Amino acid sequence: MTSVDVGRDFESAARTYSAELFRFAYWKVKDRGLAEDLVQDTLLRAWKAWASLKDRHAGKSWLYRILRNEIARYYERARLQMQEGAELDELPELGQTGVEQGVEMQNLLNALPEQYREPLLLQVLGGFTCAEIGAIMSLSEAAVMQRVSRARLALRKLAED
Amino acid sequence: MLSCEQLRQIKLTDPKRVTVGIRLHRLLCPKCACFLDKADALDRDVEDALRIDVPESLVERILCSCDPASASAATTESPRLRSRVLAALSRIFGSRHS
Repeated sequence: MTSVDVGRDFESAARTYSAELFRFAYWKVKDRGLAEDLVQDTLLRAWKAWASLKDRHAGKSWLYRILRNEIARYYERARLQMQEGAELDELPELGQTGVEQGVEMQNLLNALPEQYREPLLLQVLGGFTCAEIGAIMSLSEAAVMQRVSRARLALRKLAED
Repeated sequence: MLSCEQLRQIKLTDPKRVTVGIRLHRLLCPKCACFLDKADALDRDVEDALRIDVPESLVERILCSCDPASASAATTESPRLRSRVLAALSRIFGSRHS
């Protein structure tokens, strides 16, 4: 593949995936400007190694992996704690967060602990299968299935409360 | 035929999956049909909520910073820093021209 082909291939991937990568980053960091920076850093990093990417079909998963690393690096730098340890039974009561009944789904999604929200984001935004999500998050497929299932049940419960 | 529990588990883990078994179960089990309708509605709401607006010309800005015209020209400069510098320069020169 010539450098022109590599450039075109990368541009095509950037055009195809930048929106969903931005949305994923936004839901991880809750800041549009920062999400944009993280996607930009991700694609820049990907561009530098794009020519060495052997399996073009794996490009999307690879971009998500880079973005997750960028986000982790950001949190490391900012020394912010992610809510990885939170459990579903620690979900705030809607009343406690000041959220009224009939609240928008965005608030319900925000109430989900990160470990349940992230696989759901990858499934809904990225269109990944549970096995693919497992590969991205270094989890077993069964663990991903459990998390997305519990995330939906929790959302349903929150929406009905 | 799928059991009610199996069907609900599939719907919660892989909501887009539609099989003959699922369709048949939906026809024969009113309770699961109701569960599936609610699950579909919830998934539509989740999808709508997650699809926030993307900044205009995001991809153009990214491609500009990545400069795909030349693989060897890939910069090690942080795009964040670069875009901030560009924005500052644009403010300086923009104000002089106005």
